[in-house]
Amino acid sequence: MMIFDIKRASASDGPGLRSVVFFKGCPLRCAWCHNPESYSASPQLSYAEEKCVSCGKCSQICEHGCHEIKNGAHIYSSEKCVLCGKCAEECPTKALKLYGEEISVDRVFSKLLRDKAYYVFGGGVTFSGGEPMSQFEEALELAKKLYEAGVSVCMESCGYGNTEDFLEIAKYIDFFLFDVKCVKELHKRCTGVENDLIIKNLHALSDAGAKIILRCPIIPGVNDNKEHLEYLASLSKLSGVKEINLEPYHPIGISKRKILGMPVEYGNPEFADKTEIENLKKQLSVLTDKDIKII
Amino acid sequence: MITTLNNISQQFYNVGEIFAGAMFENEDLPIFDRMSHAYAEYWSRKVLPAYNGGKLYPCGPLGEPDYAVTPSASYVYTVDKERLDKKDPALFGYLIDEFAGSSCGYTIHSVAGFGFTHSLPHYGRIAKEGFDSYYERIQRKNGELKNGLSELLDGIRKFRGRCIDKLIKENADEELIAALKKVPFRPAENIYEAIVCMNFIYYLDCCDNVGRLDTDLLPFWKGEDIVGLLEEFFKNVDETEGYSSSIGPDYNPLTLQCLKAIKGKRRPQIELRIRPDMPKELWDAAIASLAEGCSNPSLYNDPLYEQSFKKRFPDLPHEDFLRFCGVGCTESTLAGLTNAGSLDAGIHTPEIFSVYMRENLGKCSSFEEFYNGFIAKYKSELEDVVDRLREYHTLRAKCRPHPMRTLVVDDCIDKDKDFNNGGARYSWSVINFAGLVNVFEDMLAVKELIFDKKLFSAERFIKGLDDEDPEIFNACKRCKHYGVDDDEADSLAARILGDLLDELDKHRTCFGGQFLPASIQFNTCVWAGRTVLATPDGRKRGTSLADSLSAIHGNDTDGITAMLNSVAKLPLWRMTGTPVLNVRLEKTFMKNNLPAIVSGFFANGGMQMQITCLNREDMLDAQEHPENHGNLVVKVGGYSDYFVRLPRDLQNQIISRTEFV
Repeated sequence: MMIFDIKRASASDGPGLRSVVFFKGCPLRCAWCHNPESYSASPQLSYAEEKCVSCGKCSQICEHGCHEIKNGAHIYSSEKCVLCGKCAEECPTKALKLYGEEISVDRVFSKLLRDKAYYVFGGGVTFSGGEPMSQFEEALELAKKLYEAGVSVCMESCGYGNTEDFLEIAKYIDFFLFDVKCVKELHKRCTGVENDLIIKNLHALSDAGAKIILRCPIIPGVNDNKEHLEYLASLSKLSGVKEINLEPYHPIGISKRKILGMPVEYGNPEFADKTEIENLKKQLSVLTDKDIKII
Repeated sequence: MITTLNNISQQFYNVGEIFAGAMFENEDLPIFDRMSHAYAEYWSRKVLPAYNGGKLYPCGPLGEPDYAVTPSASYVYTVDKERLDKKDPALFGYLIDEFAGSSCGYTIHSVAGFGFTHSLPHYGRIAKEGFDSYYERIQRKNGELKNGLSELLDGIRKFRGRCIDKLIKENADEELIAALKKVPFRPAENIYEAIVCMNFIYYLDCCDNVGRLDTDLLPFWKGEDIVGLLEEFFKNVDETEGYSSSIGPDYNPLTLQCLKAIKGKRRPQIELRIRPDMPKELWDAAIASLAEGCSNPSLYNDPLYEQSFKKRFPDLPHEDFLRFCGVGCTESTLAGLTNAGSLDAGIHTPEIFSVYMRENLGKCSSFEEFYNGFIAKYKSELEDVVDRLREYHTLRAKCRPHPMRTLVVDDCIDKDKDFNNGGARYSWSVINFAGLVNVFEDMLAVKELIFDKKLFSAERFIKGLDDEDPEIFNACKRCKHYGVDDDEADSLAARILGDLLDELDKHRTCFGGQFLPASIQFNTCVWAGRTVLATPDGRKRGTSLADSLSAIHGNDTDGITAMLNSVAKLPLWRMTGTPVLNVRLEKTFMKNNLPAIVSGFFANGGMQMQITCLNREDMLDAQEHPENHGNLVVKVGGYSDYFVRLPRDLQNQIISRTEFV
């Protein structure tokens, strides 16, 4: 399987203390995505100019001539790069970083089990990404192993994938953090795909008895409006939906895109206004049933 | 000129030195009686501290305006030479006896511990039985300690009488005066009297440690809310620089009241003994206190401490283990029953390594040869430390009896034996290992760079360290590290620690007691580093050593659980003296996850955890020195991440957020 990180002791990706597996590859292209390094199913090299000290270690180790230091400046030629990652390993300031590692399910499983003692008080493992369902077979195998080891698994998903696959993996998932990005009319423009399949999968999971938390990034100027809240409220009537999280926008994706050499599509540099998010939560609570938690 | 004994005494008295004057009144008496007389006279005549209008007395700082020779919790008495010389430069010489002039003194290893002996009176017993019954026990025994202890009790009675007179004169709280007329000589009959008694004894013991609060006070408790009273007591402890108290593991309503009273306070250091069945309300109270940034309480894995004690002392009764409490910093003792010898001595492992490596690295053809040579070198250094300590203990028993501790620690009276001569029910000696983590890292780097990868010759390597050659330091930094849950690195660390402890376990004190190993570095890690040349852990000459068993800052780059897993792979349970682990957590992270972090660590074999919550200054320093803050966690919008992994602009934004307190 291809992952780009395992973050240990995360406190923000589901209840309790969790290890988060970041799957590489995503079928969506959300303009505001805070993990653009997850888009591609292949490894990607990032270069943070501000961290580079032009030491030239990368140019010495690289066998393909991707790096050179000219007049004290580092120049990276990505077209020659085979993504071996040797330069990133050598880089003393971590200005170069390789995102993406091919690793067996068994190795990921054994890494995750190292923190089993900390998965008490509701914690466990969270699949995130990228989109875990973009590597369905691996995700399923890992989920099964964790289930059998008594580890709670939560899956964060954009909902875009085969419905049968979702229903199959749901047997081993304690709950889904199911993303709802925006209303149907904006979906394709903002994420690159229509949301019909996503909503179909949400219904299917709910009907199958899955526990679902709707995770909704609030993007200023895109979905911080009543129409979106009403849309969320309508989805919350599904029996599987227990909770809605309004996630405040943060601009980390912008700097990540810069170091990955990707164009910035949503360039808002400001953190979400906390008061604004609280107002939206209040408005949403009026629209939803009392037993739906809004966080 | 022939100086008579009385003249010496008179000279001390002439300059207001009660303790020393009394000590020299009659040098023909046994030393225990002389010390008892000094203690008795001191308490009979010392300047009383001011009364603050509260419910407890004595209160506030002890107030030693002019004394140069004073009683000491650890050393029987201490001398402020500068102050004494100002009074009369001839006097100091009289205090140099066989003990003070002995050669078993300070060495390079002493920086990690030298002759302190924190201890704990048996507060609960004194409150329950009263000193009047101690008189009877002393008389009944009719032994060598009879005269001295009786006189000491008389001195304490006079001190109490003077306290009462002062309180009456100042129209103090009537309930306080009434309580002090009863305790500590007659048994306390209610919770207030018990706390007045405890406070009084705390001052008599030179304000050292508080001890077992919840269990010692429980027999007197009839449902009262004593949080306010405890807060007043804790204020006294804070103002007198007192140390520790332990609560739990037999949780009772006073456990919670103690946690409420300590919220946000520095001292005493409350040690919460955690068992898997600890009630949620205690977790919540601990979190609420830690969130104040006060690092109180510290958290102890009670079942593992019990296992550790039982392995060393198979016959230890459970009721005695229940009196477990860390004293001073956190050295293990059984409250009211022990001469813990904390911290009797240290062993400076990085100094041993540094010297050994420079002399021997080039001579060794394999890592095993190098490793075994280091252990042999440590063994001979340890033997010297232990020999010196035996000599120190023997001389101390002869020259420095401790009548106050003999009175208040079981079973000195019943054994008719001084506290410093093996009179306590348990006598051991806590030996502090300085810089263990540095040695783990040193060995890992030498193994990898010199023997496994053969990247440098021994000569080039050592010269590079001494010249602060960046190539050598960078190579060292890139080696395998302790603190990232790397099995290979951690197993070498565990092997080193196991071998060091094996050697220590072979030794006994001059009283037949065990040496309990500890790793407790506070500011001592800075001091101890000053003498050490550059080391393969990437440490430059003269800089600080690692902090107790924490990973070297900046090496623990894979999160708190990875760091804790590395620590828990060490044979911590063998470090009965106590293996300290300092952990700094961001406040919100701590509030949401403390039980999971602590329970997980303890389930894996962690012994204790000392927590500090993060502040803004730490984040600013992380920007300046990211290599020292790899484990610092912050909240970014809806998720947590490592601060140093974030882009600079995001770091700035997070720092610029208002900190809500």
